[in-house]
Amino acid sequence: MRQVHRAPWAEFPDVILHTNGAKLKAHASYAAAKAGDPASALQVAEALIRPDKVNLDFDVIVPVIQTDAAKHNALPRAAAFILAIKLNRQALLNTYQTNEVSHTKADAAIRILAQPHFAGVVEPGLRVLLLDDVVTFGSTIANLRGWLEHCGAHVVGCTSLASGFASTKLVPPADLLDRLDERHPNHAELAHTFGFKQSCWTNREARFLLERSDDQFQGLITAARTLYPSRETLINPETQPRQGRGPTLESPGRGRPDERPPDPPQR
Amino acid sequence: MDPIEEMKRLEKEIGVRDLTPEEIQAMFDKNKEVEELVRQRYPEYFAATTDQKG
Repeated sequence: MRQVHRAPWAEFPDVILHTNGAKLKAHASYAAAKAGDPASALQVAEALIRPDKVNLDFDVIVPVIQTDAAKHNALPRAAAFILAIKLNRQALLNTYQTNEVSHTKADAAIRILAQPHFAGVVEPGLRVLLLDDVVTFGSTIANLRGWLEHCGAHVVGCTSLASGFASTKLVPPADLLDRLDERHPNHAELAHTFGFKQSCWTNREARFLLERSDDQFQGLITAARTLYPSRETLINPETQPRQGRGPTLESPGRGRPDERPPDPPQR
Repeated sequence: MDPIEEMKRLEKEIGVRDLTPEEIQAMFDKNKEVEELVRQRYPEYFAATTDQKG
């Protein structure tokens, strides 16, 4: 059974930025670093990492290790090492994303559905600082954090070279979740389909969901059920309602609002 | 449609897929590439704290 691991946000701090997107992308070595060149990635990290901005106490830095369009972005790895060297900490590179999501060109609906999954081990009890090159929707950070917390580590924060617009606040404010409860009471069903609690949406995810029409929202639930089928569906598919060739993003099928969603992850 | 087939069809539509073992190995190879270069440039970091940061 595939499942997205997420942990309740609690008092998770805002993402610590080292620069802005324009300066990052203007660096002469940026493109080569994103394409996987280690020397270029070190040049970018050495130029832009600001250790003085990191005011959290932690043991290790865990960078986002993923592929996008079959390329191995070397920036998070290099930035993790540079920050670790500057702060005399350890960089851990043994946790990795197990699927390719192609977030770089994905629209918001696809970002909701195409959740990153992680694997790899970390020593329980370690205090972890996450690091990515750019934070946008926050799904990758939320899922990496969830995986590491599931493994017994404690993620104290996240740092990023740059971020998308209004993306540093990963935790959705309470009034936003209240409005989401009111606008789409079944958003819990969508979250449970992925495997986490409805309070674990990121700020940007919650804002995106709030703006969906009823049909769009139902389409997301139906598509999510297809991507994250329940154990019952896999064991006995004949018990599920027929949906023709299944949901598509353009013409989503109808879900079953009376179905009990799967239990949230056990921590 | 079989739920697994339907899942694969939608994954293809939205552009998400599980990595192959070879692709995961390639990620670790990239880790080693970056680490090796860091070791060359910052030998004192690894030399001073090999036990902790190895």
